[in-house]
Parts: sequence; C-alpha cells; structure tokens
Amino acid sequence: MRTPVIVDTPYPTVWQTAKKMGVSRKRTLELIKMMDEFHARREQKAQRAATRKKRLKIA
Amino acid sequence: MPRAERDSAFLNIPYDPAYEDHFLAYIAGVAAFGLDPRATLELTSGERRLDRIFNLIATCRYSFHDLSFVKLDRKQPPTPRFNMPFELGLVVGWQKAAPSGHDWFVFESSRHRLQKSLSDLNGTDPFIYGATVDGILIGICNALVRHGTQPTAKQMRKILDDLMEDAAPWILKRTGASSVFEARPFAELVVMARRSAEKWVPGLLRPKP
Repeated sequence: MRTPVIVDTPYPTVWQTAKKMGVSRKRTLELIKMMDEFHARREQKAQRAATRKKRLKIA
Repeated sequence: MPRAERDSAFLNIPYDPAYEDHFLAYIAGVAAFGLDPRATLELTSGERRLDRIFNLIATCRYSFHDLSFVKLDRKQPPTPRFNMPFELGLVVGWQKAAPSGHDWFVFESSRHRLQKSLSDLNGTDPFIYGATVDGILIGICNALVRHGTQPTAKQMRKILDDLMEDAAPWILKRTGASSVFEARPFAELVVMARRSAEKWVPGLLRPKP
C-alpha cells in the first residue's frame, strides 16, 4: 500500500479523519480512490457538455 | 472529561429516512470548513449510552442541533422524540457549568417554531433554513462566519452533490447497509466528504504558517 503523504495543515487531513472515525487504512485508500474517480467522471462530463455547447454555438 | 478536539463538530439531528438529504447537507457543510462531523451513530461500545453521548459532545469544538423534527410520529402511540432537545440541554448545561469554548448552534426549519417548542431558549437566534439542503449550507456558513477557512456556497454545494449523487449510493451498495444512519456508512461518508472538501476547497490543504 502506498504511504500517505501527510501535509501539516491547520485542518485534519482525510487520513487523520479516517483514523478518528475508525476506518482502516486499506478502506480509506479505497474511499479516496473512489472519490477521485467520481470527480474525474464529473469533470469529463462537464467537459463534454461544454464542448457540445461550443459546437452548437458554431453551428 | 476528554479533551476537546478543535476540528470536530457534533451533529445532533434526527435519524429519519425523510431526513437523509439534510443529514448529508450537514456532513458536507461541516466538512467544507475542515471540520470532522461526529454523531451518536458512532457510539457502538458497551458503555452507558448517556455517558458516551456526553463524552462525544465534550470532544467537539462545535455542535449543531436541528430541532425541526421534534413532532409527533405516526407510530402508535404518537410520541415526539426528545433526544435532540435533550442533547441540546446537555450542551447548554455543560457550557454553563464549565465554559469550555464550545459553540453550539440551533437550526429550525421555520420561523417562530422554536419559541413555541422550546421557549426556554428565547433570546437565542436559531438558524432558520426553510427545510432545504441549501438552507442548511447557508445556515452553517452563517454559524461559522468566524472560522479560519470560508468556503463558498458553490464549493459546499459541490461537496453535497458528491455525497448525494455518488458517495452515499456507492457506500450503501458496498456495505449492504439499508440507510446512511448506521455506524459504518456514516464513518465512510465522513471520510469521502473530507476528501471531496480537500478537492473543492483548496484552502483546506494550505500548509500551516
């Protein structure tokens, strides 16, 4: 498993939150990956919508 | 008495299927401010429930109390649930007896309801959110106006969309839970909300000065 990079911020990182909530490191990594995937999908969708809108404008 | 964690916020809200989106809005709103949402859903150990609730409240810097659900239920005999006003009372009493820097906020869905249901709190301004998820996000923004990071309404809404559209259905499917009002889905939702907040609210990952 990849070692998480802990940034010293004024707020807890997602890893510190997970530890507090009793979520295992393995499951935390899975949750993080999934949320990143949701974001990527959403960005792709937004990009496609923007391209479609642009094309319609040109036409 | 446990030491208060600067970055935790206690959510005192109804665990009712009709309230699921509101519950997600509180999680998203609190996470957007870099805070960890905590709730009595986490309490699964054998210790006396009241002691566990009190210890959990005492570890939090803030608490949010939604009293909009204090009403008669349909099940026989029709009874209002007093857990939420009771937990608010615990916080107020604890604050009066031993001021600890804990801030508490009362949320209500409509104006003047609090004066009728809990007149002892006259003089306290509740956050009226109009029974909408956006109203809850705005209420949290107003409550935490002095907090270090100030996410925008749009950023908060994006976190909420992540939870409502993607995270919650996925977690329920993966865990086999029937609702988000269970210990494991709640813990995992909090982790995903914090990840989403780190993505949408860049200020949360700013290194310490």
